[in-house]
Amino acid sequence: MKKLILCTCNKTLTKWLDFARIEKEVGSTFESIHIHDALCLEEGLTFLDAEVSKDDTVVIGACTSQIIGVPLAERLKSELVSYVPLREHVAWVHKDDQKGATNKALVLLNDAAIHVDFLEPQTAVDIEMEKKVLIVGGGIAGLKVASDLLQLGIEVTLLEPPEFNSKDYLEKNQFMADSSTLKGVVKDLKTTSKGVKKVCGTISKLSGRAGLYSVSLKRDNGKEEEILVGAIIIATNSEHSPPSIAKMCHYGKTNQTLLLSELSTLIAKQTAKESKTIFVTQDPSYHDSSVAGSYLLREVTYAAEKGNTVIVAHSDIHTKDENLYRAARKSGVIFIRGSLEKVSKKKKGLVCRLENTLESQVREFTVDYLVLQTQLKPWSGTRPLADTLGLNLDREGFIKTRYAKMKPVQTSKRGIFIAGNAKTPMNLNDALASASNASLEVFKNLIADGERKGWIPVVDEELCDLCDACVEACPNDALRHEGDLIKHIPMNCEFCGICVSACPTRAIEFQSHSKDSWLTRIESIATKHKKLEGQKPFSLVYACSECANASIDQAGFAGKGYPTGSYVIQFPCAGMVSPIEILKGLVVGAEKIIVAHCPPGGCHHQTGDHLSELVVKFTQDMLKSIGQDPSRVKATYMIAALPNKMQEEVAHRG
Amino acid sequence: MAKTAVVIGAGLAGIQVAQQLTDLGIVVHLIEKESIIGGLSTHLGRVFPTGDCALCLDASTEIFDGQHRRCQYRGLVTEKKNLKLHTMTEIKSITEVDGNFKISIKSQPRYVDLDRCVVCLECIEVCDVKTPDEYGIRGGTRKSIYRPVPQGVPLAPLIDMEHCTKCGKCVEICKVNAIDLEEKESTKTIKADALILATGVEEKIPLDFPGYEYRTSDDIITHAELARLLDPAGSTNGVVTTSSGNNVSEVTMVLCVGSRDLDASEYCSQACCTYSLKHADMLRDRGIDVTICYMDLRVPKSSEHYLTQAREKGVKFLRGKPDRVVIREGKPVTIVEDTQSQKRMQIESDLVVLASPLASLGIENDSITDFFAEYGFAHRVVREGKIYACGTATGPTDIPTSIAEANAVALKVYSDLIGGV
Amino acid sequence: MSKCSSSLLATNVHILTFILFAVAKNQGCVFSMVTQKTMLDLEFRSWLLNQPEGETLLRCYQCGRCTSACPVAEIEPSFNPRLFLQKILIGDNSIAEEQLVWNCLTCEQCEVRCPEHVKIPHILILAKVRGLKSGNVPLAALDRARTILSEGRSLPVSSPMLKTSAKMGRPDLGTPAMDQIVAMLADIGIVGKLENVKSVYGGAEDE
Repeated sequence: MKKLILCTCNKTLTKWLDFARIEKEVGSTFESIHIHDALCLEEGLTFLDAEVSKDDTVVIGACTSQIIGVPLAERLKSELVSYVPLREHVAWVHKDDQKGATNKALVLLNDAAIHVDFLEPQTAVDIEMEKKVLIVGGGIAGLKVASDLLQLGIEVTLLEPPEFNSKDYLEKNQFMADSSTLKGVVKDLKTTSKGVKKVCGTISKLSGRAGLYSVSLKRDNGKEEEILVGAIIIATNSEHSPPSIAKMCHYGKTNQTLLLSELSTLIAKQTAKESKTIFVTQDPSYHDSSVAGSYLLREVTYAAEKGNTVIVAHSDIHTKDENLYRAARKSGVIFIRGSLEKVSKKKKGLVCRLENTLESQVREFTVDYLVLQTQLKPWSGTRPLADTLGLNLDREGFIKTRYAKMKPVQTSKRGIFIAGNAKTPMNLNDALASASNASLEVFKNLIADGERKGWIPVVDEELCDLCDACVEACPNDALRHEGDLIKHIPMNCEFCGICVSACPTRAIEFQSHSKDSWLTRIESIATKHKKLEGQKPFSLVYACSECANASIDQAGFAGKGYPTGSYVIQFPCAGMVSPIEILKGLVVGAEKIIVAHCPPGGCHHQTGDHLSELVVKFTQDMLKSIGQDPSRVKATYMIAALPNKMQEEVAHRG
Repeated sequence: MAKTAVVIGAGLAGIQVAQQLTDLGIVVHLIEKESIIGGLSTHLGRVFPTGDCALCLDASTEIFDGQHRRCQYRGLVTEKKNLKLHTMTEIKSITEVDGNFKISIKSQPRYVDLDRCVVCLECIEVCDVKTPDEYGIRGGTRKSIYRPVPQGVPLAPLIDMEHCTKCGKCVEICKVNAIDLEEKESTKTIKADALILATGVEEKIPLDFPGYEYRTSDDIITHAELARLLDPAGSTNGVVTTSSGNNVSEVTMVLCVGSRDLDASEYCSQACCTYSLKHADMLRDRGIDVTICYMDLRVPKSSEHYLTQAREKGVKFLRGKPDRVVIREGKPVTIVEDTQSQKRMQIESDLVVLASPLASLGIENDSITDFFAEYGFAHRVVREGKIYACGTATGPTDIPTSIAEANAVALKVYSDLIGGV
Repeated sequence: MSKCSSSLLATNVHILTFILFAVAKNQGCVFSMVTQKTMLDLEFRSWLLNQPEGETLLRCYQCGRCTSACPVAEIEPSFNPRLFLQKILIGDNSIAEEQLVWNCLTCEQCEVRCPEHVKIPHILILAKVRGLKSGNVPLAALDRARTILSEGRSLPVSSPMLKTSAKMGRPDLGTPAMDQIVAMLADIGIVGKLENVKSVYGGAEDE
């Protein structure tokens, strides 16, 4: 039976919506209609328990599904439910227009009634996991992950690329902390990670899926080997690389110029009497991280405390520990704010010339050594590794995280994580935290025993011409071209539907969200609107179900009202919207179509924000070429922190 | 038997660690002294490095697919079975018995029953009392029954008894009988195996820093206040105005007010440079001129794009620490030496924004103050196997680092309490 | 010079400088910045760091708050305490060689506001001491020294002044420790210098 259950939210929605009229006008669409006053309270839930049976399809008109959806779903016996957020999307934003609001409610309820007809039960996904982990890189973060996971009883293999030379390993990592702390931590880690299986070699191929990856290893001894792992953690290091001014500083041409990473060795060899003048310079073209800044401060302090005269040419001193800077100044290091202009080799030493910007004066110093602050670059093997594993890199070539704010160890690929310096240069403390964070994510993934369900894409073999557009578009590697088929890998899938809009032959159908369903729904909204509102213009908002939908909910909470005649259609991801849905909207008479997505770079499925912008741009070009007004179509981001966004977008219609 | 952990502070780090632990089967009591969760993030509006919402959570695997983040209002923190959220609650004492903690907590009455309230907000509608809004600026008001911010979780309103006249209108209108004006404060004792400090930081009210006469004018404000001005859901609808209600065309920002200063906070607060840039960016988008007085710009790599953007958008940078901000003819004037041109400047602007230090909040509570060390910040492991700290309780930092640390601590707590699979 | 006497001297120079600024202004002295390239010569810097409280100089991170707080800098743009510190820090001893530093009123506004508690007025006094030692001293300051040498004070005290002071209930000024003062001024070579220089006023002031 198709049932409609409405909630008046403590009888308050009756102020803005005419429930009697709603009951009367949608009566024919549903087989039963119930109006409850507080669906979210225990009495409401008990009512739902009794009222809804397994075979019913249900439309719930209440507050936003974002709030009641999950708790309600636990009590609803039927999976086939469509929510209409009557409170946040209608009543609270159209407070001065009862008739219009009721009309809008009617249109949306009618739309939901059609929506439930298209709903299918979600598909359960095989979540079998290989409870083994592969760690790439046996540095501090790698050892930490190994030690964490061993303690939790997870089998770990540590892969060390052959370029990883463990001899000068501590020296190279000196930038992470002072040497005694570093030595102590490494000693501890070596003890706690004892028993880890170590392999020397590189990854040559990756297949399988998240939770069940098959990794081909090319061992040092030339042997090929294949291992099955549930997750991979990249814990590669940063490397010191000469700065852009290296050539100007005669680096490599004279042994008077050296890198910062070589300074401590030089100082350690010094006898008490050999006081030298050492000029240390930052790379003026390079934005320093606090790690690099702290490293520089520690090294120059050490040099100065050994009786050398140390001059530092710097821009902004960046450190997390102000006391390091204090200690450096106290040790007598001379700080000059300016960038090195010229270095000339003279008999008495190197003559370093720069403008001290804090006195607007050019200064020259004749020094015994010129020390260059290194750039901390990703490990040289990062790019080939990322290519093999299918990971994205950031601007500097480090492995890119899935989402900068909240996903510090997740990569663009499910089941592959990063720890420590693989992400960005880190100090010891942060690297250890990052490693444990990765261990936690892996552990949680591997012990997951709940079910994973979702609506998945289904490829029509007849229509598919194997162009690979979907394979390219899928941000999660959930579609692969294997033989004569496009194969779907459900464990990788995030149920976003981006593949649907990418497919040029429209060969992919998404469960519950078929192409037909969108077109039918768009058409029915227009028909119903025209029936109730006549010639009044209307606009359609194709909103993603994450940020954009939340922004529209918040418009309700924050009291940012907007005109009626604005209908929100929820897509799993804005990336699922194709030009066809947009054009359909225009054809049925919508005045404006807004595709609302997550903020730039913030799509929950990684690329939906970008793709929807592209799709809209494409549609606009198409409209322009046929002499239509392209401004009727727009892509924009909506976030909950901007609850006024909906108001702005639909306020200026006409 | 299930292990229990108490997390003090429901800011971003506290919520994160609490969610992770409940996902791993540990019962968590999350103690928050404010009426809503989110801590500092409830003030910020938008945050770096992504420029999107502050009120954002990393949703856990119990309810959602773990890959997703969610707004706080839809994160359903209050719906999780093993997570007991105690808002308006403070720790009274902590004692140790047989290796376990006995933690007594005291909750202030909310006067609104969280289990009954359906958030119809009718009570707020009928309330006659208007008082200044703590989250508002420029004369923003709220009722005495109110919701602090639109997204605040729990969603139910609360009553500010100090201003309530007990007229009973809200009680009468509430059909679900959620309001009890006679509710009393309650105390409770929780047994716990582990204690996690996620007490966080607050932006100090810059009253103790001579020269920057914060209180002398409402045109000398802090970044938290500027964030409220910039928030479209705030009392000015996102319009940046002066105290007299005029639109602002010039803003001067002063960094390191009381930071890196032996008389105030000796440490660097880490986040101020970047949020100043973030705000400068948002102000430039509104066509407002911005001058930033800085000494060293300490922007983490992940937020470097803010620096690039600010330069491109024409934010003026001036290296120098102002001596004072004075009010001349009603306008704040910043007196500063531009150390790079060696010129002493007097910059007149409509608004001066002070980057006040981020100070630890944990030390304010006597029963936990001993767990904190230098500058009022704690070590990640305060006591092996027992007491941990994460987020800004261990020192000011940005959100990504905070989240990473919270996750790391969650793993540590789990392996200490439970061990392997 | 022992650290002790240097500190005592500093106190006296403190008195000396107090009025100097006004005098110099009246004379229409031209203040100009000497710009020059210097090689690294840390002798002056090391000397200063070894004086009592001299090492507070190292705490400076050049924020410039001293200059923005300085009342002299407000009317005399070339007077820049931060810049003085910068020059001393990088081993440029020009400030000891020029007379600009004598403009400091030792009002200590800079020190009060300094986030790192650098004893700025004290360091500037040390710079003056250094200038005195190397014979670089404004004539007006020498006149002041002349008065100190003869009176034990930077200002001669007349009997009406003493009477007024007594009436106001202020403590007795006492007798200056002439021996010590003369020894100190001789130590830094002022006494010898005074013999060779004519007073700008043509003699000790006589009000």
